[in-house]
Amino acid sequence: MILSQLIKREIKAFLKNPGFIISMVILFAFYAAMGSIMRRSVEETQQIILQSNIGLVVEDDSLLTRELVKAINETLDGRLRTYSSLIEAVENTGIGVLIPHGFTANITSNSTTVYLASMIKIDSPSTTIIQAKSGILSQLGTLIEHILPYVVSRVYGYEVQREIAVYIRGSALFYGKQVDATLLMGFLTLITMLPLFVGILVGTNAGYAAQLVAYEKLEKAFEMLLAQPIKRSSIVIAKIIGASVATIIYSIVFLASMFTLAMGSLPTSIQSINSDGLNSLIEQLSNQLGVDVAFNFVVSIAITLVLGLIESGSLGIILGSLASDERTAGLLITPVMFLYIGLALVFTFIGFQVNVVTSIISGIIVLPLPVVYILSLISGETTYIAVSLLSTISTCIVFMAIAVFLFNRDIVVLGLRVRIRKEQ
Amino acid sequence: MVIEQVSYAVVVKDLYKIYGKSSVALNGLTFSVNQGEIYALIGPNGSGKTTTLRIIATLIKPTRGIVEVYGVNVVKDPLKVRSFINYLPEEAGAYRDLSGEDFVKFMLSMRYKEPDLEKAVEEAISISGLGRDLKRPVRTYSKGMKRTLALSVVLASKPKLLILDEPTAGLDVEKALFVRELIKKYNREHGITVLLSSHNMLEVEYLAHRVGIIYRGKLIGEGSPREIKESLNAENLEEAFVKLKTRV
Ligand SMILES: Nc1ncnc2c1ncn2[C@@H]1O[C@H](COP(=O)(O)OP(=O)(O)OP(=O)(O)O)[C@@H](O)[C@H]1O
Ligand SMILES: [Mg+2]
Repeated sequence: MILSQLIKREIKAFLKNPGFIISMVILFAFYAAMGSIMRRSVEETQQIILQSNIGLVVEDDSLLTRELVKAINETLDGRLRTYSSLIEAVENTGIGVLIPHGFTANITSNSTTVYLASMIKIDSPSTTIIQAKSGILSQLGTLIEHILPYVVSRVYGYEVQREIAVYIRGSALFYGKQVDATLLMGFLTLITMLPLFVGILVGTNAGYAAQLVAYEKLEKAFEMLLAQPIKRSSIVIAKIIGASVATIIYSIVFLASMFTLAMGSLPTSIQSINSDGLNSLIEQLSNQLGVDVAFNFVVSIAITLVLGLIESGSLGIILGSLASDERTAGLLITPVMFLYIGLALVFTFIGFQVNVVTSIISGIIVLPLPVVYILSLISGETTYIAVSLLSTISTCIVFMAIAVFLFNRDIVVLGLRVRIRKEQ
Repeated sequence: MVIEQVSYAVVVKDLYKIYGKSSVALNGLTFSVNQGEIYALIGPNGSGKTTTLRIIATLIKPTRGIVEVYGVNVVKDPLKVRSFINYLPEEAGAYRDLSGEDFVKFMLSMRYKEPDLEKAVEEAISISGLGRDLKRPVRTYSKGMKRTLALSVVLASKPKLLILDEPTAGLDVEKALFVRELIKKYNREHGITVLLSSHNMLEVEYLAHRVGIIYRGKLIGEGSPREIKESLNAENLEEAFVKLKTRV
């Protein structure tokens, strides 16, 4: 009986809290919208890729290869196009396959494996596209493995007694640079994880900043502070910096524990080799892309974090000053954190072209900034870095101005009152 | 006109405050506080005392009307007004994680630089009477301790105008007497003008040079405690207050 009264009161406190209702509505609407956008874009990409043509380059011209090409083309409903070089093939169709010199000789000389070269064109940071295209290549490999014995028997008149494995050596044309496909896949996975990582920290920071305002109100020292001869903007800036320091400490501990976890899970013998291997992989990647990957990762994350902390700190303060108590502040901040993390997830899944519009949007939501930064460097279109940074800085200024504006209003003392109009 | 205004510590003219769209808290309030006096605002719960004090302390903005502190408009130049005043809110508290002493230091550092800061901190510490408790975190303080801590900070900052919203509410008899003495002393010795609100008529009679009676956001009576009692033929302020209210 008593317990049920207590529970009733707790639940009522939540349900009557406008922040709780608003946060749920926002959350649901946001994730529903994002989900459908993401699903549609992933499906569209896959559809387009599945129906696209495949460019073929035949270096090894023989009866066997001619028959093989004919057979593949029939199976693929005529989607094969021939070109004179792999680059040309890939520029035209997005996926290029090359039958190298010695292919026929390999078949006739009893070897159990044959090699093809391939190249896929990637001009978006999405792992969906690279996965779809790699998928098509491996399907093609399997297809050739199946067709080959028939073609051989038709051309040479004997049955192949052994299994012939077909290997496709993959490379990619990434923003005009030739890169090893496996390396690129790793690189893209990493790069699309960055917004999520930044999103967690930035979301946390918004929460900290909102708390700083809400708790000061709770402690009842706020009104006295507001009557002191100091600019309200100083209070706002102090709170942004305060929250950021907390977040930085948090993120250092977060990173250190993740690192310890990763290191702890590897056997000691592998650890040293692994870091050497990693260094050499990064070096290879840097050479192929023509960009110092490690250095620019660090630079872009650092810039993003600094700007992201300012922006989310201001946003947190805005929410904290709107809230009339810390309960509302906590509930208002939840959807903001989810919003940041959700946006980050979207960028993990849908690829986007770096252009003026995406640069501006990325700047406003901060999280994809490292992706824009690094892709612009690789493609050599560095003006997009400037555009996105300018957009972030403007957003920061606007958010800070709103925070200071609110701190100069009644609302920071009285809190926001959401009145639901009752129809009479 | 201008010269006359400056001789007032506070001028409130035709002040309106409407919360939201229709909640009228102040309804054409007019009064002024002379330099150097102790002025007490009294009135029933919800009559608009806190609202008035918050507007004068630049925390919230009036819907309409003029408020000047030492000739400076609270809406046009709040930062300047804040340099003249200090404010004890209705529910004054302190940062829970700080010790009492650190809270005093923090608040006073908003106004003083070393070496004046140190002097002010020492003064606040001595008037707080909290002794060794000042080393303890504020979260372990009782309500009365928090209130005296906050009060000692605003007193030691020696502003030209001190705004106190129910300064002795929640204090025990002895503490309340002690605080009244302090307010009187700082008013007399340092020439600090005091504008306070109170529900304690004894306190008001003892402290205030002039009293303003506020009811439903309007001033319905004003004068020295003696004047008010005499004009209403009342024994004490409480009786006068009740008589005035029934007249409205
Ligand atoms: N944030 C607010 N939103 C809406 N109405 C408010 C708000 N704050 C105060 N009011 C209303 O304004 C009126 C004046 O309130 P105020 O706090 O100034 O009264 P008070 O004289 O200080 O009362 P008390 O003696 O109880 O402290 C009241 O009717 C109150 O309901
Ligand atoms: Mg009040």
